[in-house]
Amino acid sequence: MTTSKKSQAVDYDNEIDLESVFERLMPDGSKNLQAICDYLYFGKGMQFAKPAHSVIYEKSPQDGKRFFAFDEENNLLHGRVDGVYPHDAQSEYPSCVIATNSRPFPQSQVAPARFVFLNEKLPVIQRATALMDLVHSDSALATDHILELLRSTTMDEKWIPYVVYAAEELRFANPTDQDLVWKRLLNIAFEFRNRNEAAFERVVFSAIRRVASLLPEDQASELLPLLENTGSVDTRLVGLHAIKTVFSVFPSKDNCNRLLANRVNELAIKFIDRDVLIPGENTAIAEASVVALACLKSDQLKPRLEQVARLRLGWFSKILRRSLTQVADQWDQSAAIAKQSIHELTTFLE
Amino acid sequence: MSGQPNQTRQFETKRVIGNYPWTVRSFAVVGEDADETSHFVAHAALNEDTCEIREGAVIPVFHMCPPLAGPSIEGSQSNAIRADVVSDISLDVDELNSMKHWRANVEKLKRDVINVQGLRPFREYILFPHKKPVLSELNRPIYWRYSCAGLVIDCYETAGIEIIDLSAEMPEIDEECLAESYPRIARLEEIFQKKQDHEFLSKYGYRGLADLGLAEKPWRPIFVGYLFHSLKRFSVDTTRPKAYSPKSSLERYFPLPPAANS
Repeated sequence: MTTSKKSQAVDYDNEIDLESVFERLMPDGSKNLQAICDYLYFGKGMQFAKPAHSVIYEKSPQDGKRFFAFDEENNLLHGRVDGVYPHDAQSEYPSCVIATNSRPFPQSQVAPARFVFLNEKLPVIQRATALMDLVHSDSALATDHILELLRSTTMDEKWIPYVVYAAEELRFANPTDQDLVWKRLLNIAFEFRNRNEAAFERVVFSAIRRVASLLPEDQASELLPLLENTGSVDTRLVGLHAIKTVFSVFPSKDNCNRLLANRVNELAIKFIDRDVLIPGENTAIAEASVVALACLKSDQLKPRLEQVARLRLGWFSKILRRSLTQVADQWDQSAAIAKQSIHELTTFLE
Repeated sequence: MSGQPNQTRQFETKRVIGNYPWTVRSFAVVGEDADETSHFVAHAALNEDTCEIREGAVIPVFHMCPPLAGPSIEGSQSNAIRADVVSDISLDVDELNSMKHWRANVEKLKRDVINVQGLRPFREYILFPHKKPVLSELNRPIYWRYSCAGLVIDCYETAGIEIIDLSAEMPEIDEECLAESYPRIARLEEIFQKKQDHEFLSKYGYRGLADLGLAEKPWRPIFVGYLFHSLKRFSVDTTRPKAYSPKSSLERYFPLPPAANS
């Protein structure tokens, strides 16, 4: 390529919203965003020039417009543009920017994570890792984008684990956003528990935990499908934990969530059995189902406690008594009657 | 029967020295030193499976991995540590059953920062108290953060074994002791205080000492060494001892340095 061509601005159809990227990176940089072009040559003198990609630069006609780009190893570069050259249909050369004084981005100035996350030309994994950085360095931006991703009906699957983990870290003040978060995460849990891939197990558990932390008490029945062992990931224990979480501040109102209570009771009956009560996941399901019955204020709690007492498994009774006491102690003072009831019922376990 | 040790069982809490093999059972407490010269026990974990160990052995564990990786696993977190100190107090069947039950629950409540890409280690870890829920907008727990000692304490507590008296005041520590005990956290705190390099801090999810439970002095974290001083009291001659209250922060060393004994 020749450097004798006259410098001129280039307008390309942008595939990404560069304007918002540039605004965030350079709040002082006005809206003088130019565009993206295919190559940037940087280095001292053209003979040493190296290619870069995803270049954005200022529209300002003056010399020395600022640019951002990535080198071949996806390191973020910045500097001043020396010249901008359009694609010449008559020649073999693509559009390019010449920048002889570029340098790697200094960490102390603008957060590169923002740039990486917003650059849709980069691989999802790279952007998702940047998103997890943003969760801790710019939670407002991360929150906006998590909500945007959750609203999207065409989210790339590779985003899913990161969106779930980021949602565990971020807080959503608006009740409408909270609704969106638990509904979408519950769908993600339902979908991904059927995947026969170990990597999704943790994602499903995290999603369910976050759902439980936001789900309104009167919609607890939404958790019912989690109590069926139908997928590759067994969600019964984490589903029972979720019921405990939903009712961790207030127990259920009387006669609500009857369907849910019936299923929990079925699990309790099955698992409180010496042939099934193997220490580990099975005993944990037995314990969690009894605790869930307490949270749901089910009248089946008493018979299940009697069933446990008949087993004469001292260690299990002791653990269950402690769990029930802890749950009742955490309830709000307005639930004094329910608290008292639990404390009385645990005497069956002594 | 529950919690009453059988007279024929062996109780050992000691440093792993020499090449003579020692069979250590699952849920034994394993400690890893900060370095090879001092006896400051920097990390505690639960032995995964019954195994034979010798000096320098690296064994699989279930643990709250320290956020900045231990001395034997440079630069990365893993589910294996070097067994420098081990306490095997001959858990009985009921205690073991309780611990297996505890683990099944905890695995659903604790995030797996080692195997899950994208999580930041300091979001799972806390120095004080020994465990703490991360709460949602509605004040409900989302997941639990633990200290490494806290995870061990919680496991044993479920089995009815109170290693540390959590209602007692732990020994007070100062900045110097904190920097000596957790040099990498001290370095991150320095960066945090100077408001430098947020990108770097966000890689670890580090949000300052206050976030780790050391907001106001006096600082009273539960050092790993306290666990071993407590477990050392378990022997064939006694029933399970009462919960232990460490007397000095020097008990972070196991055994105590000679000067502390004199």
